[in-house]
Amino acid sequence: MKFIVRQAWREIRNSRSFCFFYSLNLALGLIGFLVVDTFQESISSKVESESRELLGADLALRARRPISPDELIQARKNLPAQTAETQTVDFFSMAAGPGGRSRLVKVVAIDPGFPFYGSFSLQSQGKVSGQNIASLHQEKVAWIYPEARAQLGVQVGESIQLGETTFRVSDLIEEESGLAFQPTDLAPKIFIGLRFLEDTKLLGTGNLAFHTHLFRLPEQIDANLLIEGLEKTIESPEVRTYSHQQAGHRAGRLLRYLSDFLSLVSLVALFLACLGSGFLFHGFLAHRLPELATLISLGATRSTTLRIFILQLILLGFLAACPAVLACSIFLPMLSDTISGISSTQVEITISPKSVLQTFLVAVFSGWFLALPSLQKLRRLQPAELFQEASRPGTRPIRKYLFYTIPGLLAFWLLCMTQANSDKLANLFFICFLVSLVLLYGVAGFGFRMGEKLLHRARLPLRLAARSLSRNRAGALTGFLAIGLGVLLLTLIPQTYHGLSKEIGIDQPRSNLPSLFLFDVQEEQLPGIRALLEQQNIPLQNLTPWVRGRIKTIQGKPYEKSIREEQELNNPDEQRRNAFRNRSFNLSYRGQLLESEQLLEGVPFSGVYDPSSGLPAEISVEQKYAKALGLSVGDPMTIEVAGILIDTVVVNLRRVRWTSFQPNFFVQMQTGVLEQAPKTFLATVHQLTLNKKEELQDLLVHQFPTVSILDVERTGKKILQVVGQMTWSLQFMAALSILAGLVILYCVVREKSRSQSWEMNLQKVLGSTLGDIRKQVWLEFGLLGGCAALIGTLLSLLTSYILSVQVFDRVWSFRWDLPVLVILAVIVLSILTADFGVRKALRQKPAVLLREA
Amino acid sequence: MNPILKVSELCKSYTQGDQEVKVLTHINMEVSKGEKIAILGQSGCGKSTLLSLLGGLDNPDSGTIEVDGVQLASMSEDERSKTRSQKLGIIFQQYHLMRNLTALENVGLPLEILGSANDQQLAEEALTEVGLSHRSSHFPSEMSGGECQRVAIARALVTKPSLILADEPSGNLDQKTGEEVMSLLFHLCTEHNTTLLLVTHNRELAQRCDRILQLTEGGLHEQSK
Repeated sequence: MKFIVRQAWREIRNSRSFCFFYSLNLALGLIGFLVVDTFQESISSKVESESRELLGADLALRARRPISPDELIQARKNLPAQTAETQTVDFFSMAAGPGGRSRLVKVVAIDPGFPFYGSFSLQSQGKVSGQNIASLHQEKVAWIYPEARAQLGVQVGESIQLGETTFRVSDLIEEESGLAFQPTDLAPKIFIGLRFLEDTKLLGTGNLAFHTHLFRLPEQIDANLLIEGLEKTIESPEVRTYSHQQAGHRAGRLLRYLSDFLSLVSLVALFLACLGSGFLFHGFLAHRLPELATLISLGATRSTTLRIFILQLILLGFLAACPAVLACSIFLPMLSDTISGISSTQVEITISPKSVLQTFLVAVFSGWFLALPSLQKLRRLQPAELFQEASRPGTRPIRKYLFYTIPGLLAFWLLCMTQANSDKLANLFFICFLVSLVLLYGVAGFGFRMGEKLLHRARLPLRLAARSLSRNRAGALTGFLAIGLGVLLLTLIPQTYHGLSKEIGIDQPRSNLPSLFLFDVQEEQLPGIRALLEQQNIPLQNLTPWVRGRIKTIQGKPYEKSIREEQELNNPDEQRRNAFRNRSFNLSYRGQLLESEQLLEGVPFSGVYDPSSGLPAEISVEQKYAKALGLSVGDPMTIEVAGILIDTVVVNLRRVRWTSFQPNFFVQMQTGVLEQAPKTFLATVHQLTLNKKEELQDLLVHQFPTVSILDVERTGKKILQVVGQMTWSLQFMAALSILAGLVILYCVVREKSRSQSWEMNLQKVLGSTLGDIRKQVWLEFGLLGGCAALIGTLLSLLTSYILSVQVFDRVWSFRWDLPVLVILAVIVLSILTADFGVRKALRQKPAVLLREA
Repeated sequence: MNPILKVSELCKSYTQGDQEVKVLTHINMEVSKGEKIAILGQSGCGKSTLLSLLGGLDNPDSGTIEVDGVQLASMSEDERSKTRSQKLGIIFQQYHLMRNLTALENVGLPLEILGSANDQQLAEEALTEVGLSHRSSHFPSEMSGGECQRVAIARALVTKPSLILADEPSGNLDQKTGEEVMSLLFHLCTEHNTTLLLVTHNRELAQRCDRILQLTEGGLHEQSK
């Protein structure tokens, strides 16, 4: 053992350059791995621990209508005795301050007991739990968000008007718990007692309000286990059941988009690093084989020799993991602010011992797995060749060693599955990677052979370069694979990021952001609103009809709420899809697509509907919604609007950029069908100054009190701010993967040029000028790097497209400048590195080099 | 007296393409303790193969090899490695020193493999014996060919092996240096009473050995000096 430790240490001491690049590569990959692992760990543990507080209960039933007594009786039958119950009603409404200033608010009317978990943090009363809220239920008082105070011009102690009654503002809410069904709300909240809601007369016929019944289960009862029974009992698709775990997931839904991408970057960074480290070790071991043969000839066993390198890799793994953990411990807490901007929950990012342990395990075992194919060379080493003058032990190509990449690939697949947020992403990434590996191998093998044949009459440097690539097949193939895969992974992230950034509107000009969003506009109010705005010289934009519909049949079958398996609901991919499943929905009609929409499948509307044709009306469905409903182009769907059944057919699927702030709907119908249906309108008003906006709001509220007005600029800016913070995370991770990619490219070219320095000097001895050799080196490495980068880039585009279609909802846009830049950069980097690598060797006296061989 | 090396009916062949090439056929040989044997033969006659087999670096197709009473051919690879570290010293034509180890570390390496407690002291003594104590901290790249081969000799002798296998030790050196190195090798083998099996093309060098064996396609035959 002493010998093994001493020898392993000597190997490290004497191969500082290899050790430095090996550890650097691995450390960069491990940083990516640790960042994402910690990120996900922190989010999920926070969401888990706060999920009860997010929902305010263990279980909830929620519907857009009052839940009937029968339904409640049925639900209670599924719940254990001692289950406590409370209820809330929440809806959007206009509220007016004492000065007459009106604003859209979210009214939350609560019953005693709410929230069962968590508390309200009030400005004057401090923390108040659900059990201690008395004032709200005894008198007409309201707790309001601080922004509502400013917007309504109301102070604590003054009254606000809600519908037909007034409430005295008794406190300001700093923090609250419960009902976190959405990560953000569009308007400030106002809490009142449920018993006073009726006095407001706000919940008349047709008004939309969410009614929630919340349950606190006895201890030790898992809410998720009761969900299935509840779903089976309550047949109405309008009543949805939530466990606190699901509410936690929903609250973190926005994070999942980011998380998916980060998982991808993490895998890329880690695999880039492993690829680089594996290649380095391969080169290092190939270089060391003759000496290892000598060691065996001196009496060391193969297993001893093997153990020396395994110990060396373990030590290097530790060396790489230590700075990675240290760097993350220092810099990761900075990410907390980013997450807090995205999630409504305050997330503290700290590296858990589990993450650290996992990082060290990955560091140690990745080296082991990576080294397996190379270590096979050691197992097959023939020390007897030391007696042969011209032979270098272990330099014979061993095709069989490719077989030993399988354990490493399997380990990487397992890592993909544990690290990625969704199995789909992990599997797709892995399959794309494997296919690319095979394609690169095939193209390289064929290309080198053809290159030699085609260029056998070319000028000498080119001929020699082509011959060198073809004849030094093993080295050239390994280099080609490493560069090709490196470029693939390197360009995959920016390419995917480009699509994502377009989707979330990072590059969107702020002028697109509307100042005000008007909704619930009645048809008869339109001329008046137009006239009012014309007087102010303000155009009314994006006027869009809003029709409420219900799905009756899909593909000729009655549409019923499908009971989702609990297992499926735990899968984030399924959850996202399931969130759309609701029989009632909003739709609109329009002749053409907006600029924030993209036709993905099918054809545009044929024009205005002709009732005499007897054909079904044409509809366009948003792709994610179509997926949730299982709809494809050509499928029939019957929609009920105001009691009338309309036969429709899906003519196209489209993608909607929801962050465009344009009025978009899941279902759009062609014109000529819904014009006479009961409807309201949505519209936007753009580019208002702060004063003008307030003035206009007051005018509108005064003249058209039923029109709801939303200050979208405030919300939009908040979203853009979140997008900005998200961008920071994405860019940080993308930069990390690019850095890892550049290091690996440098290492690959450096190793390859070093391995050929002897041959080059032999050419010098045979009479080639330094210029000739240099030209040959440039051509050879330029060709190798250029071809590998070209193929790698094409495969990367393909992979990013597949991932975008399958994982990121077809968010893909081609960025031409990046691939060109990468290919040019790789060619230049290959040439420069090769030139640098052989320069030292070329300066040496040939005799020295010949003797070394 | 028991022979230090006993080879019986040793055969080895290789496959090249579809053809089987018989390299060694029915080789028999006995070498006594302290004897110096030269093996002469033309290029490609199987000298290197014979050394590989005797050194336990390769397996024979048939036949037996007994080194200091131990049957080599029937051993596992790990057992052969152990025997090699205890009973054999090998000197290569191309020295095969560890580039990243100093002269002293190179010499001490076999002792480290054996797990010797005082490897440093023994290595220093061996290096002194070959006249290179002043070069102990130098790396192979900083030494001449003759010096490298002397380090290789010290490395082969440091464990006090029963048998030294030497493959053209002077083949890479100029005549004068080669003679100096060979004289040193003969001297040390005599001093330590170590058996030497020397493979060479050089008939003059072979003349300095106790016996000369000629390796031909037909086998191994003793030649008169």
